Amino acid sequence: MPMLANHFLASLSPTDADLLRPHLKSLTLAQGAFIYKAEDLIERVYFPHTGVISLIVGLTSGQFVEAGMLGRNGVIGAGAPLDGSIALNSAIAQVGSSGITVETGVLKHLVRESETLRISLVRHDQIVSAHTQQVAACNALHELEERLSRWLLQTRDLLMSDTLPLTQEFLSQMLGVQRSSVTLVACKLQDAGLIRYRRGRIQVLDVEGLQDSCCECYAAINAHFHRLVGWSPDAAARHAAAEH
Amino acid sequence: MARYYFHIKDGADLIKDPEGTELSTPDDARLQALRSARELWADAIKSGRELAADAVVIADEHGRTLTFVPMNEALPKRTK
Repeated sequence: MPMLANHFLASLSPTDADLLRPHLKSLTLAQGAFIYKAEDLIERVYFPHTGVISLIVGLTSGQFVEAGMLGRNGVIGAGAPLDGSIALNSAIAQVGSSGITVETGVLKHLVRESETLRISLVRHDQIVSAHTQQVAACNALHELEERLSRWLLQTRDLLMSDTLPLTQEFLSQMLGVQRSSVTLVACKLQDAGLIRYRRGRIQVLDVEGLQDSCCECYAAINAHFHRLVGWSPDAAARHAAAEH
Repeated sequence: MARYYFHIKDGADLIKDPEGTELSTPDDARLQALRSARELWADAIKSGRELAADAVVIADEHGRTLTFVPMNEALPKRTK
């Protein structure tokens, strides 16, 4: 079972990797599939290799908004084996994803055997918290153009591709805005030559331009990832290039 | 259900909705256009920018214009 494509698994010590290896199973998720919903018992922890998983908060009106996103840089449900096995919010594949899972109960047992494994999971649980706190500030204070730019850059980093298979409807739901607002801002970014938009597909044309048009939150989230779990998008891209 | 498109008219320009949204009734489409107009106003006012839109144009999947919601319609009465 390949473990290098997910940052958490790739960062484990050989001893911890050996502990986990016999319990790993592969999993593929279609776009729109839920990994868990709020209040669910989180029965398995997911380590994505590809795709993007959105952590979303649903409201009684049926609306929901994204609080954070993870992919090959993270762990979905890292808190579950640390005794937090009831889901606080939902996790959905915003782009189809494949990766590895392990049962929560098994991992709960393993973290009692290995303190280093437990610490790795704690760090990955903390990164979700750091990420979602930054997103809360961003959603409250930053303009849609900045937020959309951040969002596109983060998605691009996780997919390691300039082609993002996303609809405007999905984008508007994730960002908690009306779709016309996305239409207007996407049009502005397109006129500036930063992206090209086709139905259901966004092409990133100018990464530096998008970095200029986004808020500080993109760099802040990356800094959190670097400090807590040693992941950065540039290093991940270099690593992937070296693999090919 | 039918697919409605919400284009944004700005002077001679029409910013096209490339996707559309599935909605049950024309009334739902109108409400959606009104919500969009409110948010476009809110963002423009909040950021101190001129509003770059005159109306939200509702079209069907054949590209026919069904109706439009002028931006002024989204303003509270006291501001008009």
